[in-house]
Amino acid sequence: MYYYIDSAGQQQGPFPADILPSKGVTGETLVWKAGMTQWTKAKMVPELKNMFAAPPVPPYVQGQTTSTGQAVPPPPPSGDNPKPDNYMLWAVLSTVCCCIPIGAYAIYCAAQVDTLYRQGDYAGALAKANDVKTWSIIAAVAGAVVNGIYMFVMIASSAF
Amino acid sequence: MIRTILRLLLLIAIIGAMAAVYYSNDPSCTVWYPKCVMYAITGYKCPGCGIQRLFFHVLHGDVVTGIRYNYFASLVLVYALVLISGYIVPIKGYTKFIREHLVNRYVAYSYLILYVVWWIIRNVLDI
Repeated sequence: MYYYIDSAGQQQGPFPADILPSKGVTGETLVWKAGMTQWTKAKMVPELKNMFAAPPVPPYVQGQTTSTGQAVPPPPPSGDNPKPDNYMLWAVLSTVCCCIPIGAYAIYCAAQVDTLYRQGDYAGALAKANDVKTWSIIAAVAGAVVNGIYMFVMIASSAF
Repeated sequence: MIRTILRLLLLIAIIGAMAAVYYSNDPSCTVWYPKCVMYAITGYKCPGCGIQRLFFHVLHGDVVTGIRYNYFASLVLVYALVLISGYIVPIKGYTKFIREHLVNRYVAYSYLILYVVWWIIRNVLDI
């Protein structure tokens, strides 16, 4: 079962090797499975190289496991990764569509995504991008809840 | 691919439904739209106040009247449309351009400053 990094820089998977091409994985796509130490281009992986025709095969290194024996993907490599989506759109909409300024924090996180990416901390940037998504949702839900409570109070108070 | 198309259809459906609601009812004349809680409690407008009236008037083709309800939100909505186009327009390098230049830290921090400045100014000048 392989994981891969899609064109947006997001980790996907796991999928069986034989369906990877149908997921848009090419010889240049970074893939990983339990037992491998690093994200590796698919054409460099012995098991996959026939699927993605390419000549060179690097030495195969035995991989890591955690203390629990569970294999986990190493952090996606930094550097040649495309810049991740920082969900600025949702952060921006959450600032103008609800009265509570929680969305401002989402904007701040969106700025951090850019900063971390530029510093080469790709995993950190991805994590921050997730924060942007989370806080945009929190802002929207909080806005809806506060508004719901307010409307309920208004209706209740006009009923008596 | 199918997921992308489904998402796109969902987005169009939501926008269409919202447009229909905001086209057919004037927010100034109905009690059923969400009210700004901040304005109701403190008497101060929030940065987004007026956006529903803005929608109503823009949908009726009266862009100038619409913009006057919230200058900041008008700009933000144009910006949001550009960002949305980044998810839809299939031009190679377009999405990358947006991620590099339109949502970077400078834009984000500028947005935060503008947001706060607008919040203060609109309450001081009552716009």
